[in-house]
Amino acid sequence: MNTQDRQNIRITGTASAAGGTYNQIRIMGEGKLTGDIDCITFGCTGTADITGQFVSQIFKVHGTTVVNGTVSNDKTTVNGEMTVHGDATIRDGKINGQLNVKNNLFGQELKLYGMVQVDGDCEIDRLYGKGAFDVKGLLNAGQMDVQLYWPSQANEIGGEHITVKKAQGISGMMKSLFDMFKIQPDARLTARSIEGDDIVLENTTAQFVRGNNVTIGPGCHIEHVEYRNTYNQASDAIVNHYSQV
Amino acid sequence: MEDHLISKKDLLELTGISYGQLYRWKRKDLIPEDWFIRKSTFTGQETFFPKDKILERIDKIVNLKDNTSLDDLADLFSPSLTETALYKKDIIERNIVSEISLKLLTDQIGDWDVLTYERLIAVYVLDQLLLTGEMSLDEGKILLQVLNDHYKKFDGKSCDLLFIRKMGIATFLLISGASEVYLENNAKLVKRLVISSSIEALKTHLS
Repeated sequence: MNTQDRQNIRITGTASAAGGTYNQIRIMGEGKLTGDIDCITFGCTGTADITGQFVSQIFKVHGTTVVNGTVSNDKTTVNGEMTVHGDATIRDGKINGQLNVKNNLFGQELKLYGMVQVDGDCEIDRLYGKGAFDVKGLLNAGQMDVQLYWPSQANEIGGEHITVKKAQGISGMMKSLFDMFKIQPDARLTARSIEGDDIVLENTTAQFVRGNNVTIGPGCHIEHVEYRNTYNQASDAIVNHYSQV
Repeated sequence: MEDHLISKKDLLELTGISYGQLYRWKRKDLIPEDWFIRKSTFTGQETFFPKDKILERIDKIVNLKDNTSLDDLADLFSPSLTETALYKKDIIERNIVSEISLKLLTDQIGDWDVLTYERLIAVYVLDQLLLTGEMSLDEGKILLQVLNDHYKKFDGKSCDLLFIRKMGIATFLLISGASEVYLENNAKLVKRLVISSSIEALKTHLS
């Protein structure tokens, strides 16, 4: 459909609209969209509830958005909270708040400055930033470079280059958020297994770490390390077994 | 089926690929999700693969990846249908399926000029089975009907075709990939065909 044929929706206050093919959807206040949505740009300041499948090119949330179906977005910015009950495909995403996906998350690039929670598997080519994640299944990332500001979990992590570090200093955009709580919990990564080509870990608890070049940094507690080429271990890391395979 | 599994560790040792490559190929859909079989072992949970399938697939990827982009490879391996259609004369010229199979199709759907990919796969599978000599022409008609009516319901997911004969009566089943099937004693499983590998073969034929 041509852009000319697509109509705009603008909701100010409380209203609901039917699904369909649109050019621009803007919600300021509280909006409910019933049915499947296909739009070019979507902006929500406030609350949006979408009952069907959702497809868009540019997607921005400054508030709360809930999608009951699957989501497929090109460019996505979440400054508040977004919950997807189906699968989410986010080609290029920036998460400044929280993204919850109840199924699987797929993407090419994800900048993480908040929290990502995935109940299924997570497949992303480039994942980097400062924040936290909780993946119940497999976190499969080509390039992963994350500084942890909050406890993070994944059942399995697999990829090519995996770097997980503890956040440097207290300065960071999460600081103001954490200051609301009196005690900051230990920003530790807990995973059952971490497998990749080049692995650099800090402050991580894992049962298995397997890779070509493995560096176990300070604060780690690893049960088994298997490496092919090189292995480095910080003096205060606890590694029970390590072997070259 | 159960004994033909290979653990991830053994697989990497055997093929010499790295964890990174394995995960990248999975991300690019070169290795289907349902080949990753998670089982608990004494060291905790481990991932296993169907041995023959994964070894064949990795061998193909390793041989092809220098000349073909990963995205093209993913298209080649994907069980989903692309939007191509073929003209009758192309099919005959390029000798993709035998004329007998084409005639059988014409008998069933009437005269045609262009074949959709979906129909093409049905004829291709028919042709393969006819060539084995295990199926008669009349049975081929039933097969075509099954594929035409039901294959699209799998919507690109992998599925197997079962050809069963009992006391001279033939029947066909389409089941979702890798599921286990048990038959009564009198029935004979003549052939189990993995449709996705037929599609793969067909795609190599076309390109």
